[in-house]
Amino acid sequence: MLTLQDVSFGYNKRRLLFDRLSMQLEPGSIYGLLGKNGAGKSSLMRCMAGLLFPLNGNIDINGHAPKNREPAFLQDIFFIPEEPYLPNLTIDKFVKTRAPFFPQFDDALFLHYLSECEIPTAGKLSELSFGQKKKVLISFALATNVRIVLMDEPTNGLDIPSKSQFRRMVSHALQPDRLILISTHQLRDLENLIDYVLILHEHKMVMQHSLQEISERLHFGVRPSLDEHVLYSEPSLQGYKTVRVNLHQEESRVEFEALFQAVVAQPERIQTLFQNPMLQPVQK
Amino acid sequence: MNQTFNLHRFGLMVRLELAEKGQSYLLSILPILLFLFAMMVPITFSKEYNSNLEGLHPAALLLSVFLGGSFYTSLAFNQYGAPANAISEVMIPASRLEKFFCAWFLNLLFIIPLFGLFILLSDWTTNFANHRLSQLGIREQYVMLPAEMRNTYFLFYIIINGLVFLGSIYFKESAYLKTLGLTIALFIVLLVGNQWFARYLTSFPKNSLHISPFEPGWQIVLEESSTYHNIMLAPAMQTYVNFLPFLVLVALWYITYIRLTEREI
Repeated sequence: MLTLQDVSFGYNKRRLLFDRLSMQLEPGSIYGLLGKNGAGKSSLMRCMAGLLFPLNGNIDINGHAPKNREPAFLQDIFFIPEEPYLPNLTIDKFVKTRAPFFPQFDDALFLHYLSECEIPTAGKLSELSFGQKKKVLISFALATNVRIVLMDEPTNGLDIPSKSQFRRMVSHALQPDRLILISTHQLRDLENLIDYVLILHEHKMVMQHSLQEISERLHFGVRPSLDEHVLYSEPSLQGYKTVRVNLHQEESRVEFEALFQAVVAQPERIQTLFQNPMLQPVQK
Repeated sequence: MNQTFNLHRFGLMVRLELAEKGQSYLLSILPILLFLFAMMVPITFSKEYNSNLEGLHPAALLLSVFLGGSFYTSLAFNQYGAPANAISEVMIPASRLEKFFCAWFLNLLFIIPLFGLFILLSDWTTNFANHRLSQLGIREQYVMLPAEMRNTYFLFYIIINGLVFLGSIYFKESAYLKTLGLTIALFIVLLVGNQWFARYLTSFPKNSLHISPFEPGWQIVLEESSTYHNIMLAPAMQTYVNFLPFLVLVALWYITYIRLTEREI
């Protein structure tokens, strides 16, 4: 379990990236962390991984404080940064030197992921392309069988087939005791993958809800005209693509880009909608 | 499992470090040793006293041992420079103490034997050359490095390496050049301070003073009178002073460890 309690962080104390964030992420789910460039997604993930130290508040990951960087904590978490680093070694040597640090590492699974990603196992890791390096690191992370996997923009640099491979691998790797947090600004890459949406906007977590909750409260669709229940709209060929208050519990598929735009455009209204029981959608 | 230090994890760290940085270490060690031998051995071929060949030994000490050794030391934490590399390093499931001791151990493993090798080569080549000169009936002899000088140089050597060790984690870019620059600046400040203090003790004489921190004890030489004024400390105080460089070294190592624990990426 990953718990944040009143966590604040900024590179400058006067300009905080996020302020008094509190949340609790449970295992068995894939969380998508969304936000504009510079909103603090990467910094938040680095705080969780113990790479950055929060200015205030506490982070608890499976009973460990990340800033202590204890071996027991590091054995149970894997952070994939946006820019992957792999040493100038062969894959075999890489596994022989790194895998012993992770007691649950599964060699067969790692090789399976590599073959699925069509990564050449001969030659040195430094000779691989950016996308291939990223796939090796993702494969290694998932094969460690750690309980917390943090991925910062994992699909950057991946081609289209690799993105679907990535979604497949991650969804297969999800276990009841495992928590996967993916930060991205490429919202479409998360479709059919995540269970929960976290949106970091203007120093606050303005949304932290499951897809089910979102689809219960918001409706995504196309309408010929706009009304007061529309939270966000953009012109389309058939009229307007909208995000509306789901007054009549209509079913719709959550569209991440539209959701993000709606939350960023009207954060307070959306927060009120999700918090205020008086505004609960009317049952059909 | 112990979260502070575990011998198994330490072994894994050393193995990992050698696998990932062994090539860099080797590429720095080989030229240092080649250069050292190339400067130390020519004296053994001399058939007459040659001050230039004798001068190669102090040059080897400066270039190969001091500069080469400190360059090797600057590699100790260079993986913490670039963010992607540093993230990979911090996220390795080993304690901060194990990571520190791994770099420290691999550093001392070369640094101390390098100085020892210089002393061995210096003694052996000088004795060999002197023996040969005697056999050839030449009275002039090459001068051996005095024991006190060796100790003084060794203290400077380990302090410089301690500073560079700290610099390798303190600076994210061009760590070696920045540390070397700061070390030289620090030595200049110490030399000037030393000079000023000596002049103060001799009531700012009109004659020029010669004070060398590289010689054992603290000698002040008034050039015109050629009189040496040895400033001696009480024996008990001298013992403390002898320990001072080691205390400074341990302090530098401790600061390096703290810097490692506080490193944010």
